[in-house]
Amino acid sequence: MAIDMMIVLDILIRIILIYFIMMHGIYLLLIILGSQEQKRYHQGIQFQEFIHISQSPLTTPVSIVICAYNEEKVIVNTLLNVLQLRYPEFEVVVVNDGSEDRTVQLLIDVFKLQPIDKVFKKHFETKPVRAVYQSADYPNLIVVDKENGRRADANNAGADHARYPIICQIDADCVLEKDALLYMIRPFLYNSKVIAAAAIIRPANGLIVEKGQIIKRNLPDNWIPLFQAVEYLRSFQWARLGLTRLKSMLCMSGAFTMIRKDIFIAVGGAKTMAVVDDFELTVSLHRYIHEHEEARDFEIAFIPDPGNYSQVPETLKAFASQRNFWQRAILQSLLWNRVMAFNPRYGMAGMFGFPFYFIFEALSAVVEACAYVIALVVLVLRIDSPTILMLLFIFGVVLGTFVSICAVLLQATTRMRQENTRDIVRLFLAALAEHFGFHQFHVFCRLGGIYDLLIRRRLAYGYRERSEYKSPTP
Amino acid sequence: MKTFLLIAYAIVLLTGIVILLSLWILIFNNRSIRQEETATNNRSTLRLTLMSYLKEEIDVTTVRRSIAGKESLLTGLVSQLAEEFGEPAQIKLIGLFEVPELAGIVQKELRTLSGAYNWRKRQRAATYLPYIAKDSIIIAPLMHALEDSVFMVRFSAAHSLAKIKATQTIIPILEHLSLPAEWPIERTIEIIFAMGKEAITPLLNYLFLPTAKNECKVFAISALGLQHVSEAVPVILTHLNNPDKELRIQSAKALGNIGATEATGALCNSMKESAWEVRAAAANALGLLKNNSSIPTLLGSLRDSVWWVRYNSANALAELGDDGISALKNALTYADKFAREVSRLVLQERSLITIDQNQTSPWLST
Repeated sequence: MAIDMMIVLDILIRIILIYFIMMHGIYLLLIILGSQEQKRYHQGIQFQEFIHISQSPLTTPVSIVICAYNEEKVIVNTLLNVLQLRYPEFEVVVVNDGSEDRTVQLLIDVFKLQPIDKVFKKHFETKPVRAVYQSADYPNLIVVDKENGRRADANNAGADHARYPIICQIDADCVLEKDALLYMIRPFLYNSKVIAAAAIIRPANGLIVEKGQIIKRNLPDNWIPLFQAVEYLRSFQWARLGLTRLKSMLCMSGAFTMIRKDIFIAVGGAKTMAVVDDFELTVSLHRYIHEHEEARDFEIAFIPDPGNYSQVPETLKAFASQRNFWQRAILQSLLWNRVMAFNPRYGMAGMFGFPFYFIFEALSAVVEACAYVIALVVLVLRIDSPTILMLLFIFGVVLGTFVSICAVLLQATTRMRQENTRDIVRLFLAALAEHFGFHQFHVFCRLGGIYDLLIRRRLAYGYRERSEYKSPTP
Repeated sequence: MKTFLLIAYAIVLLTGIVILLSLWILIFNNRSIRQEETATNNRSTLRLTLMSYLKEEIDVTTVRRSIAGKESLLTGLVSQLAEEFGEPAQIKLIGLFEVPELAGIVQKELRTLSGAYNWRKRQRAATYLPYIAKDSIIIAPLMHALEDSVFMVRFSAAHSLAKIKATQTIIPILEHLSLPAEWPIERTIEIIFAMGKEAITPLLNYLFLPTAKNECKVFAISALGLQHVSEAVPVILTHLNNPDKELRIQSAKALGNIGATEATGALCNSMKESAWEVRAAAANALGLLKNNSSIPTLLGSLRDSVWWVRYNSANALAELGDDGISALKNALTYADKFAREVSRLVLQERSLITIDQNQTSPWLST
């Protein structure tokens, strides 16, 4: 019996070690591919290109859709920031998703909103719209006040009210660089086969913002957002760029996405039953591309220019809630679209992207948790513990640290690196320390997400915090 | 487990190496920052020198001495200054490259354009040549680059030819840039538009050519419209009934941009088209023409089956001044719900009426 158990344990350990090698190995490859892609992107920008785009009367106009639910702390600054963007023609559609705080009243007061009878072609069934307002000061600002229906419902209502052929969805807590829209529209302008674009998101916690303008781009002061800065670098910057190169990027962050309105309508808009709509929307786009003959050449672009900064949780409680939510979103969408798995009909998205997200994103928390349990069992039963423990530690923790440091290292050698040495040191230290405690807590949160989705069938976000942006010191 | 142990040692070794690399990066970060500062300073110094040269405070010999050792910065900086200070500055800066010591830079870029293996280098050369060399030297190589196998090189060459207003190259540009199916037409129109007024005659001549292709005529008509060329109205009018839908759309837009009031009747006829995109473009154009004789047609189009046609028609009416606005306010009493709604929207968007927040029906502002 004891021998059987030993054999099972041995096989399990081998499987877990192979899993770790594959996961971190693929991440490393994606990071390298991503860095090459970024280099190609920067080399491709022509002299005066963004000035031409910003001045051309033929640049495609854009509707920016911002969903707001209880965003009184940040919404005014976000709008001031967005309304100052450098772009020839755009409108801003704020969808107040039944906020219980003073979000709407604040907008009415600050932007001198007046009610209008907005007529529009209804493409989606959404929760009832209570009123539509237009700003007297900013004619391109519209506020749609509707009953609460969660983010996807609000995004659909925003798309219904958007009048331009391209929709840019951003979060209410985002701060955009002045040229962010120019970066995002570029692939659409030069290739009519591009149907959607996503971009690098960076944590906004260290930003100094004054009247909607970014004054300084510092790293977050606290360690929790700093760990997330490393994670954003590794997963959201390099890995997603690499995945885009492989036509396998299944997650355009809802914090900053641009999509053709006709395609958004064609895929049925954002799915209201999804835990969160962004991952599901990206998967829907891939399905649309591969299920329609006329859409075969369509592309999703990824912009490696940091145009958008989004607030990341500052406390463990808020972080746990967010990661639980993300885990549920990924797992739910992957289960819904399981037909794509290893299905050659969906090209690289089906053969590589889907399995990658399922095995190494959705299930990684389970495998990592198994590794920790096995380590505990080995320790308690004192089975050849030094070797096995060392192997689990090296493959699970050291290898992860290695990948994180590589991500920071690559970042430090690009033009997007931190300006001062202190910030680079802090990033390296965060990359070193992330896997000693914080990552394990992350795994625990994601396990909670799996439990909440599969057992409790939970859809709601949960605990969330918002803080105001730092102002420059006088 | 032996294999795993070996891999584990390799991982530890690699992690150690990346940590050392990180330390190396950190140690040398200050040096990199200093190098960047030096480069920035060099650029600033060179910029000041070139500015002094432009203000004729120093002569070519002094500039040449200041440039020594900083030649790699020169092309980019000269291009930036030319963009900032316009054509006179550009001509003067090009003069710099005629001195024997710097003429080599132009020759090198010309060689790169025609023969570099890396297409990005060819593209770069195509972009910068107009800022550093005389038109007479670069037109032929740039025209040759219009036939490059890489589209982005052709695109940059076309941009540069437009920049120097080489109108003789309009037809080759139209023909070489209309090739890729995924290429949006607006980008080519922008290039032709950038040629300025000098492009008008060749474009007009092209429209009369029996061999002219429809896909190229689209660019020509649109560019003529953006240049407000009234002489083009008769020929554009002949294209308003062309079987090619894109050509009809661009013709309607162009007539509106030109402000061709004599085209009002033809555009009113286009409002009866089967393609809604043409109707929407014609409605917009009628608004730009500001001719009150189009009011009945536009009022009729407030009942169109397509939202964009109704919306553009209502906006066009609002553009026609008092008569159009009163017709639009009158449409608020129409039996047709869609006509009422779109009229109300446009009047509210222009703050010509407001809605009483306690009632659902609007009241007219005095």
